[in-house]
Amino acid sequence: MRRYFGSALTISALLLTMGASAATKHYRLSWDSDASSSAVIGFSPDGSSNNPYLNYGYSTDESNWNSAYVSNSESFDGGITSHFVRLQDLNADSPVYFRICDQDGCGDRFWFRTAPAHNSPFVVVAGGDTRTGHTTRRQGNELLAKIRPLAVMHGGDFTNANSASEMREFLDDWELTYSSDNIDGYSYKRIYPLIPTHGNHEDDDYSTICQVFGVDFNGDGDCTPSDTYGAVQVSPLLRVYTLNSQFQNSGWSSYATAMNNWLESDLSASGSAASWRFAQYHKPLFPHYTGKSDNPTLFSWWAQPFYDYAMNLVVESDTHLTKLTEAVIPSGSNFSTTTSGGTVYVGEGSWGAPARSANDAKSWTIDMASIQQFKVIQVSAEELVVRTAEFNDTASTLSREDRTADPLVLPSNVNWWSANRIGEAMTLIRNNADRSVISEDGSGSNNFILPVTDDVFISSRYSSSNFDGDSGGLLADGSDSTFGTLYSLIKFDLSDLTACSSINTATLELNVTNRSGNTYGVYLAANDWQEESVTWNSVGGSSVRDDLAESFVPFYTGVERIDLTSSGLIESWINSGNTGLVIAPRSGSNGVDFTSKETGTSAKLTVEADCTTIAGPLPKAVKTDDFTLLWRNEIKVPVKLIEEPAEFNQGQGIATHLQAALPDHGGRTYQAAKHQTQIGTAQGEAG
Amino acid sequence: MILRLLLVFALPFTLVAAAIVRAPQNPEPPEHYLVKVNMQGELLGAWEGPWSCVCDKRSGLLWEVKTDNEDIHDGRWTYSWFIDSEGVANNGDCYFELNRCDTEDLIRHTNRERLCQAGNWRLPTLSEINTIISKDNKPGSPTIESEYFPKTMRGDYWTSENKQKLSGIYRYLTVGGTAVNFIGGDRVTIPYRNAAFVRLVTSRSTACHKAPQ
Repeated sequence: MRRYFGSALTISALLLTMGASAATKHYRLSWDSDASSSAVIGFSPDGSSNNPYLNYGYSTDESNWNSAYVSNSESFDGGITSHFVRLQDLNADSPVYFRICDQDGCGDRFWFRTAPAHNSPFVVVAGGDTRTGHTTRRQGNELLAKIRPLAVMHGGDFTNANSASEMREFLDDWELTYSSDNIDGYSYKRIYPLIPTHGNHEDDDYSTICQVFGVDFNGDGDCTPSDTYGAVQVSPLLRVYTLNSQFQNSGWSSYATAMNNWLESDLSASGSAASWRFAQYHKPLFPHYTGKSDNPTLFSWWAQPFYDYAMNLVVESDTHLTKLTEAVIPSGSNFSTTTSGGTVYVGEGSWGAPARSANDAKSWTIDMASIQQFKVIQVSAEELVVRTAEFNDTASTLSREDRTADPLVLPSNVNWWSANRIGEAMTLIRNNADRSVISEDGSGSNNFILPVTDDVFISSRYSSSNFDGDSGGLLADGSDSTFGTLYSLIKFDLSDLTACSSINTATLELNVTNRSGNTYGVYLAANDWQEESVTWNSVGGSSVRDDLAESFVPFYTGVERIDLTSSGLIESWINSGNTGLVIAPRSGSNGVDFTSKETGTSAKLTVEADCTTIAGPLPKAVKTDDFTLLWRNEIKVPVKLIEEPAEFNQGQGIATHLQAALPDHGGRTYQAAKHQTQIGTAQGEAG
Repeated sequence: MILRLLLVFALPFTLVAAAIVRAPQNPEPPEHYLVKVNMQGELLGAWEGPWSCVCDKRSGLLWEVKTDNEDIHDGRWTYSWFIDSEGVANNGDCYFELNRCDTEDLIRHTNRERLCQAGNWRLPTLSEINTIISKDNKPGSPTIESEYFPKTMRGDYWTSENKQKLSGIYRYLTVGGTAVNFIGGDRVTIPYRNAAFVRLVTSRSTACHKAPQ
């Protein structure tokens, strides 16, 4: 009996061992048609895998799973064999659990989610150019796993040489995009659907993306260059068009004609099947790098149909940088900005491939930069929110529960790139013709990063010396052994605010290079100064500190953000003269250093304001006196600078100190008597 | 008989002797103001290689030659402008640094390596980099003597000039650095954070001083 029992245990163990693996690897998932009901799952043999198949179901109970079999197998570059299982008639908005099985048993557990068949919101990631730069490519892949998007749009140039060895490396690194989950006691990996694009580095084989990812956009069962373009109906919210910009090359004109005929036909027949339309292709119509030529052929093909059929967002690649454009409309052989509805173009690659100099801005470019990035897009019925995630490892990781609870949630601490005027998030809404309008808070609110005009430090010990452009940057200290007391003075160009009526938010950013645990104050500067001449003596020494706007402790190196929204500092500059601000110690003698505009990253003052102009640059040729008058007519926000009658006691905390220091601290307003008087005057004039 | 002897012996001898005397020399390229220098700091002929630097006899400057072998001199690597704590660190892309790359990284590695046995490698000034711009190139080629400076990109190359006022959409970033665009040889002012190419130079090289003037 014992012997039989032992044998049974051995057989069970053997079966368990067999069940733990299959001779397959490089699992990938793609979408090429209706994402709410179909998906293509691809994988490659890892050794000898005979007659592999897929078991799948809608719960983790494998006894209820079905089997699906390989629909086609493809060979890439003579070195990668891929098997593809096409799942169809899937339930919409549902988790699909699966394992690849073969003669060795079944492999790792995976799951993905089908797209919703209703207007539920979701997140997609869009980027391209993973061809080189493995370190940053992997960082991007790991970030993707933390974000847990519904799907990924890839703009092409998967590898550099389009060789089997490089594609194996790509597929190895793609495994970093899997998110790890424990579901019902089982270890699962979430895998994300990819919508692939043909890039110029795939040009030696125009069938690359169907050979590697199994897409069959035209549904003919064959893997051909015609599978480099097509549409994916993600949900009623989104239809994604994938196009092949390499068909502009010599010898591909018949394919180009077929593609462009299909595009117009599909946009006409099915474009309106979704609230939003995205396009992706590899080569930008107008690259933002002078080393790349414009692509007038692509412009002639697509710019007008995109406008005519309300393409909302176009994601381009190839150049290895980031850009955001205004909503644009084709105008002759170029674009022009429109505020009444057009197409927004974003890009341009750099998911690993070396960043290039962002040096070719157009009149309709909002901002651009040489960074490693992809776009993270929140899609909902009302709006698109487009962010640029700069690759690093600071982001938190979303759990499966986080994503289930909120289909739009994003991890905290993502290194979002902040575009001038727009900030970290570009919000698009639709006009009556379904074209994109950049919403700047919907009420005419604009974001600006005000440039620094003057920055310098002053020293009590060298009280007659000017330190403009000093290589040490900006310094502040209660008692420095060399300089004595140090203050930094910063002044910003306010001309962007000339047509604005109120400040909604104001955030000061200082790039800290030498941190301190002491408390520092941001003060209104009491009198005017110029960076090239100011000294400790010329501004009256410590009396240059007027009202305290805010306090902060620069405890970490890097960017220190100080919220000045309720300080009234900017309103004071506009009403009483732009004297700038003072960074001065409030306690202690542990100094802090910041970079200046001469030493690299200058201070930034990001302002969100209600302005009369929706988008585009504002008039600059306005004198200070003029806009002071303008503001006196329009200003509505009371100045809330803090007078500082009491000495700051670090032990009592800043909030307590402020409340003690101010007689009127009801709600969030802290008002100084003299500024209340000014506001009274301003409101009187406005009336 | 004498005539016969002359025809049999003297004439062939004379022809052979004349052929030897008038034999063309090994072909040599014309003297050029650029001279190839190898990693050991030795001067090479115009058709010799491999070479890691180029000496410009007109200026006495020794220039870095770019590669495509993913070493620190690979021509595809890009760098943000960062020197002596000024600029933006680590915003370009190379593969020889744990973080991303800036100009100081390339300078540090190149000086540590003593490229072509020379030290004091640095960013060129605007006037220095202008001396190697060549506008007689084939259309579409970088504006440089590509036979001596292979792997040159049609893009921006940093100079040592900084604190230059930015305009247009970059106005909010206030100041940046000067680069020279090897597409048309034009000067551009771009933000320090831009990822541009770099070709280092040194004015203190033994090799370049050995080059025949």
